[in-house]
Amino acid sequence: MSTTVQPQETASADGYVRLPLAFFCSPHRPRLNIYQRVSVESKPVLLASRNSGLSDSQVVDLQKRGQKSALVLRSEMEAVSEEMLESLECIVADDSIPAEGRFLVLQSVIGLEITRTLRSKDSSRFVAVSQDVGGMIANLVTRQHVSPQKLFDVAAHDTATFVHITNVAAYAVLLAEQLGISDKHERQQIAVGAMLHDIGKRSIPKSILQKVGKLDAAEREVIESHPKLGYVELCKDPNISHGQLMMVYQHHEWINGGGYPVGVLADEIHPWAKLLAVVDVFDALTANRPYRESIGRLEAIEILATGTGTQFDTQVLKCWISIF
Amino acid sequence: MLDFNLLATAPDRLWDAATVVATVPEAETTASSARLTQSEDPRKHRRIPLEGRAILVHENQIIGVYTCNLSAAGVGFFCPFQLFPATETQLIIDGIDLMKITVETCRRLSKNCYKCGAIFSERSKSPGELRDIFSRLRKSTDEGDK
Repeated sequence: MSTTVQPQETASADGYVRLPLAFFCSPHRPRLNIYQRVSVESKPVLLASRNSGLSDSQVVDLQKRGQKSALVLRSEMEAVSEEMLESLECIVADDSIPAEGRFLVLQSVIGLEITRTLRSKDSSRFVAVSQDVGGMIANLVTRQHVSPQKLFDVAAHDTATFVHITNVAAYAVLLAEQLGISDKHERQQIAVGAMLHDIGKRSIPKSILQKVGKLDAAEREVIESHPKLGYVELCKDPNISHGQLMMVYQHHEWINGGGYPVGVLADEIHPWAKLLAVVDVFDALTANRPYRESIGRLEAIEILATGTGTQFDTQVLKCWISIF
Repeated sequence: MLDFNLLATAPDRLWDAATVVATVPEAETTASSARLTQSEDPRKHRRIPLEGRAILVHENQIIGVYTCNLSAAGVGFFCPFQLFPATETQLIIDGIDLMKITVETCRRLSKNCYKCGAIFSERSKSPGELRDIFSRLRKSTDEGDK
């Protein structure tokens, strides 16, 4: 049994970014032209100009028609990204926007910043962004009790790196909470660790990362080096905890020793890495790929379940499944 | 060329004082002693099998490890526990200078046995230095044969 994930307009889809309707009514909204798609295949049409914004009657009308979001041009959003970044904390704290909608705004706003800082040779800026955003995600997901289903539905499911790491951070916090991790600081650390988990991929050639066909042995060896590269990049950073380092280094370890880079058994895998392993694969399975149909969350869970007791910690996986 | 065996030995007093010693699976000792030809070893620095014992000084503890190979760039050995990348540590082999090494790779083989690869922390050995190490380790073998 599987659910169908509706194709979502994301920053990388067709030049538009989808944002929740409530955001356009908030005091923190930037001045942007607002568009709407009449049908799935149609080109978006202008709904309100940046000068006028959405009127109350337009909002009511859209809500009556079941619309929960509208579009803005990516290029226009990029032009005001600094302004949006500055007000991001206020947006995340704005209760007039549903929590999952705020996650969508956060994901869209920080996408550009993440992409930019990830490209930088010096990783310190990306680490700093991750600390900020990870904290915001942890607060948003736990304080507002975001429903996992709603979070899944609203989160983008494309292959952009920023989409993957922000989804994984949000899922990791959800799972941590479900596992009984009640300490706010610990959940924030987990969110930040999740944001950083693939930092080692910065050094992997795109030709290998984005290869559609099967990887040969040499390519596999290169890609399997990313946990170690990430660990080495972060291990001397005093702001990164041991648990976060282990999330980076051990998220591809299997509890039966079949993983990489070391092949350690369950008792040597950090609990945060066990948690991350589940949500990392879950998000990878549910992401749209150019070479396969997207997989719904229930189908993804069925696939995850085949790795219980071998790839994944049984209790952690059970807990993740119970969320849905 | 390089048709000789190298044997590492650890100072007895240190080996006896080791808090923990690696246990190497038999299959692995056979595999590790297989000599790769230049064309078989894709690495820039050819690895020469180096069997024997060494002492790892790690976090002020004396650890018994078994060596498996040596090159101008670094050394491979079996450690009783996991070592993380970028860990700086020291290796003691009888008859040669203390080796300051930095861990590059680690792979679990079995309980009490992790195969580690480390590079020399300061710089790679020059051909002359490597020849000197080889001759000392070969000499140890000859002495061991007596």
